[in-house]
Amino acid sequence: MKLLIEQIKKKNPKAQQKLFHLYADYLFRICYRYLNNRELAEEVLSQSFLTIFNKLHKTDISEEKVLKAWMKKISINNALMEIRKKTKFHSVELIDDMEESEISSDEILLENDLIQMVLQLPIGYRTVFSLYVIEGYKHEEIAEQLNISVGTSKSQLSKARKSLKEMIQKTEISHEAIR
Amino acid sequence: MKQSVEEQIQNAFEKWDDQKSDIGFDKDALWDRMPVADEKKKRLPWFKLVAVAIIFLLSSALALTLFQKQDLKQSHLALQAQVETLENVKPEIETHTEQKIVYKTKEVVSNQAKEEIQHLNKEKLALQSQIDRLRIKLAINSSIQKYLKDSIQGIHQQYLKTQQLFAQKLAELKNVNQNQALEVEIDQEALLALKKDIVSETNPKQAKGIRISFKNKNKTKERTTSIFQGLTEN
Repeated sequence: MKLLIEQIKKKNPKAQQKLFHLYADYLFRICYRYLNNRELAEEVLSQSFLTIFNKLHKTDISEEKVLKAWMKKISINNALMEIRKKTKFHSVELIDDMEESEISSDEILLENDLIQMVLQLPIGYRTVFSLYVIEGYKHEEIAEQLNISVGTSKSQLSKARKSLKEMIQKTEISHEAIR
Repeated sequence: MKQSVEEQIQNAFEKWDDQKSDIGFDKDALWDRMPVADEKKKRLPWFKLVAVAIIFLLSSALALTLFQKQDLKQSHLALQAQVETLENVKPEIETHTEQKIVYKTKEVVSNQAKEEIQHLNKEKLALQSQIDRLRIKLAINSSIQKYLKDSIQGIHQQYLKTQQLFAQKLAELKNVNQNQALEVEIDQEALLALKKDIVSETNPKQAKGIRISFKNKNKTKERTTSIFQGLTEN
């Protein structure tokens, strides 16, 4: 992998193609998670790889783990740029404590169900929720990335949680009905 | 027991992200559409690049050669025109050269001429002095000639006076003799002949031709006069 990274830094086309084939699916899923649109996800993926190829030689990355995290960050940033262009976040800053608390359930939900639930969220909710819950960003970072206020970030997260709770409840009800 | 749904979601997505299965988009098509792929496509293998470079160099060399050939042709034509022009001008140049040579030759001759002129000047001066001397001589001779001429004239006049006086004396003597019955006969021709050699030496034979005869009719004695002494004695 180190050799591959060195070759990519030297802008070797074959190495670039190899890296693309190795990480295209991984990065496409991340882009798709944020954008929920295949065409946009492909476009952002393409831009992300171009950024990776053009900036890798300026970094001191030599390990696959670090490279993977760096590529993920680039893809998320590009996806967020795309979202910023197309989405207007509603600034609702009145949040109660109940809505801000984490979602919990008595059951272990199916992974596919959970993924589908997140993907069904509106783009604003989904973006803030993904950044906060999956990527571990803080509200300040999210606000900076999306060029919104911290309150807006919080409200988007709260609404995302509320929506997800509703979706989970519906799922639990349907499971009980099946039993 | 309550389970954290968010933790489940995080795990679910991490698993989903790392799935090895194909998500269902055409990676090759996307790779081909990427600008980097275009760049890659545009990149030619090294041997093709070398071939292109060689072709370019050869083409450049050929173009350069053609250009130089054309340029040479033009230069040749220009030179030919210049040569023709020079050939046309050449006779004038030769003439000019000849003129120079003549000038140089003249210079050489001039040096000799200077010497000759100096020599001639000397000769001229010598001749001039000779002419002056001759002129002086001529003047002297002229004056001598004048003097001689005057002398001759003087002599001639003196002769005429003498002759006149002589004739007068003769006439007087004749008259006297006639009066005294003395007859003087004078041989006129002999006297005229005598006239020519009056200054020169008297020939005794000629003197013999002069015959003067005195006849004394009174029977008186003859007397010799001083005027005829020189004539009769010689």
